Amino acid sequence: MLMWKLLKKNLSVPQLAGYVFAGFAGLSIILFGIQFYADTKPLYSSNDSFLNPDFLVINKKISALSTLSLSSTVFSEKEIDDIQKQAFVKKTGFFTSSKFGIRATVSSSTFGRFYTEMFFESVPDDFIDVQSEDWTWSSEHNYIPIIIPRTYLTLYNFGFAQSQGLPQVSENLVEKIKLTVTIYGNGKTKNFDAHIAGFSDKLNTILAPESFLKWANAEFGSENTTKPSRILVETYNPGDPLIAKYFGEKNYEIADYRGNTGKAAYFMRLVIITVLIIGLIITLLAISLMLLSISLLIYKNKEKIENLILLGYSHTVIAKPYQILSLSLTVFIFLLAFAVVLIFRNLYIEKISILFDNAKIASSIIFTFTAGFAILFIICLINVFWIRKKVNETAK
Amino acid sequence: MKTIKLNTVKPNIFSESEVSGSEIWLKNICFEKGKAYLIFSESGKGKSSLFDFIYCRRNDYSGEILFDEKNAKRFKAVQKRELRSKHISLVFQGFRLFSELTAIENVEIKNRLTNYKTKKQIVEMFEQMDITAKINTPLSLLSFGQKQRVAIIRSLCQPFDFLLLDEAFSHLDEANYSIACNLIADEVKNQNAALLVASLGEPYKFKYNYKILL
Repeated sequence: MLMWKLLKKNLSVPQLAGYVFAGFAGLSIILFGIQFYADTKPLYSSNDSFLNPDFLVINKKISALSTLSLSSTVFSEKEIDDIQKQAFVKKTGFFTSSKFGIRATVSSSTFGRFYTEMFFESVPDDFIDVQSEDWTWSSEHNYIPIIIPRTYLTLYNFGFAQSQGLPQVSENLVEKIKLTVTIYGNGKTKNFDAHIAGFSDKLNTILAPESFLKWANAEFGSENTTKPSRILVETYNPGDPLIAKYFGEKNYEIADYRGNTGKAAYFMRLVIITVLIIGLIITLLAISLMLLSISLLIYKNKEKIENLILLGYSHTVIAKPYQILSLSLTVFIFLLAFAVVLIFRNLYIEKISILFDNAKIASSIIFTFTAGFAILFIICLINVFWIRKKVNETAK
Repeated sequence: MKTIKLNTVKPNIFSESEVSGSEIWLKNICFEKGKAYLIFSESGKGKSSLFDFIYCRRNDYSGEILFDEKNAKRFKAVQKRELRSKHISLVFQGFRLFSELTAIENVEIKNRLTNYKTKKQIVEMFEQMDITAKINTPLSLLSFGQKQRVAIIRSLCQPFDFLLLDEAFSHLDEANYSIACNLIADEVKNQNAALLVASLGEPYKFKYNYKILL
């Protein structure tokens, strides 16, 4: 191609190699940062998959006095009224407890057969954010969805399983385990199928649908009513500093509210943001190098470009070889960076995927690719316009 | 394009007294398609400037140049492109060839844009100009006279209404410029174009309708 033969003159290979190297370094860091953040997000994310983050769970602190029944851990009507009057409170909800006996049995080839006595609690359905088909119960169904605290699984994976030589399990796998729940009371017994529909960090209880609990309490339960010891509070903004202040003064606890997970997440984010900024700076330097190199090339070929214009060539046609050059190099850099990110990801992903839902992790590659392509698109756009501008300036 | 009109054009670098004897600067003159013009003057009177203005390469003049009543100063890049590839061809005094390319590539880079001549016709022109031996030689290895002939061949590889020759035979002997003049005259006749020849006074082998002192 004659145009290329003409315009490649004065091309600086070291400069372009510098762009490839620096661009590759910068983009790898950025993409790896994004990928790592996406992959490890469940590790320090305190959001329940099913509980709206605007909800807080409040309970009174348990002291030696409360154990001796000298101070109550239940909320009085006056205290509840006071909470409801606070400006940050949108609405409140209460837990319903099971007033009958429950025994859960698990039979599986991996774990063998074991059973445990347990309890259920429920909260109003509008506080729960699981897909409705997963979180329904009606008296015709012989089937109960339940939500357990995530700490139960952590306890099993890192305490029990390791010490007993049992396999570690992911949340995804646990959700597939079938349980048999036996309910007894009032001289009646009934068996139900159950499965775990979700995990919660905020609610340290075992949740069943409210409709089920109401029905079962009426059917199997005893009559006595209890005052609530925990309250669900929906806030307008969970970050409101008044919330921590108010509950702190009242000596109430907020479950999983800016606890250690929050601090770890904060530092993790800080580290990742720092890494991303470094990657961004390197990338910007690489782009500057590329633009400078192309500007220099165009400047050195100024006379040739002017002569082509005088022959009747358009600026677009003249800019094209330079644009193709810079775009191919940029795409090459991206493919290289993507490849490196995938290779590094494979090194750590196995460990993470034991602990978390495989499906969630798989989808996060797409996120990095999307982010990567967005960056690629922007860089290409900058290159194309810059080259066009420089060619236009060279020969008017 | 039928006419190029110059209305009181004067290069900014010249004062009015410097152009007082000129028949072009600060006068109204119209170049018409199909006519031949010899524009002569001693050095430094602005022959190359005049062609640069007509070719829309420079704008540093007062007055106006009209292409069929359209003002040259208002031409956008796309109109200039059209002008240079379809209406006006110019043999630059400094050739403006590409030293990285071979002789024939220098011609082809123009012809690719216009698709005006076939490869065979181009080779024939090289033969007539007696530089066939240099056809695939890098331009940097050619003599001035050979380069000048390549520049002339290139200028003929496009449709034009006006052909502008800016001292196009300065490095050629009489035998060689006679051949070149015949080739050019044939093409100009074929295209029914106007010929504008800038020279120091030498008329070369053309027949002119007008001889104008610049």
